[in-house]
Amino acid sequence: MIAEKTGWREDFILWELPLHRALAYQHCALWSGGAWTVEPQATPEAQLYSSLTSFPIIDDEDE
Amino acid sequence: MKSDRSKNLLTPAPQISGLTLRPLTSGTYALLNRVGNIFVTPANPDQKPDHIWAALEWIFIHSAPPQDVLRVAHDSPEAFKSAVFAYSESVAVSAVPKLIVEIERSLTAVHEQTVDVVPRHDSDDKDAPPNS
Repeated sequence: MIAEKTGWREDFILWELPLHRALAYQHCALWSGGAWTVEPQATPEAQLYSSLTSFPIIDDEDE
Repeated sequence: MKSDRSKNLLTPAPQISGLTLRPLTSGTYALLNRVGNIFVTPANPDQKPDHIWAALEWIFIHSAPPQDVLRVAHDSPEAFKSAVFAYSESVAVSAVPKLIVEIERSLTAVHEQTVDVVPRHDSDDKDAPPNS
């Protein structure tokens, strides 16, 4: 996508362009192409664990 | 910790104890993946992670002559390990902590620029998620 949008050589993109800049340019290309983007979410496992541990703990002995 | 995206985006290549680290690029990221560097691949739960070795792999890939790096990374895991071990003798032990900070900065800069694409499903721009 970056090569198509910029015309830069492949070896420049692979070996010279810092990855974080490549990602920033890719984000710009996605945005200008109308895509919606969000900051990456935590892994599904981490989200599930977070949801489960946020429930209040009920002590059965109190019933 | 509050991130400073523009600061990380514009930081020049550092020089540490005579070593100039080339930037982390899509090519060097692919090499790190190929050699199973634990900074960019999922940790093996059966194996204790060796962060110093991973840092030496990173330093070799980003500071040794590029053609040498490509050749040994392509040859075999043993050839790569031997080359990293030989190269590590030229790295000053006192420089390793600074190099690890630089590795962390590179990975943070990449993480800060990573985004997920959200499907639009023929929705209008007014339905876009926040900060999209």
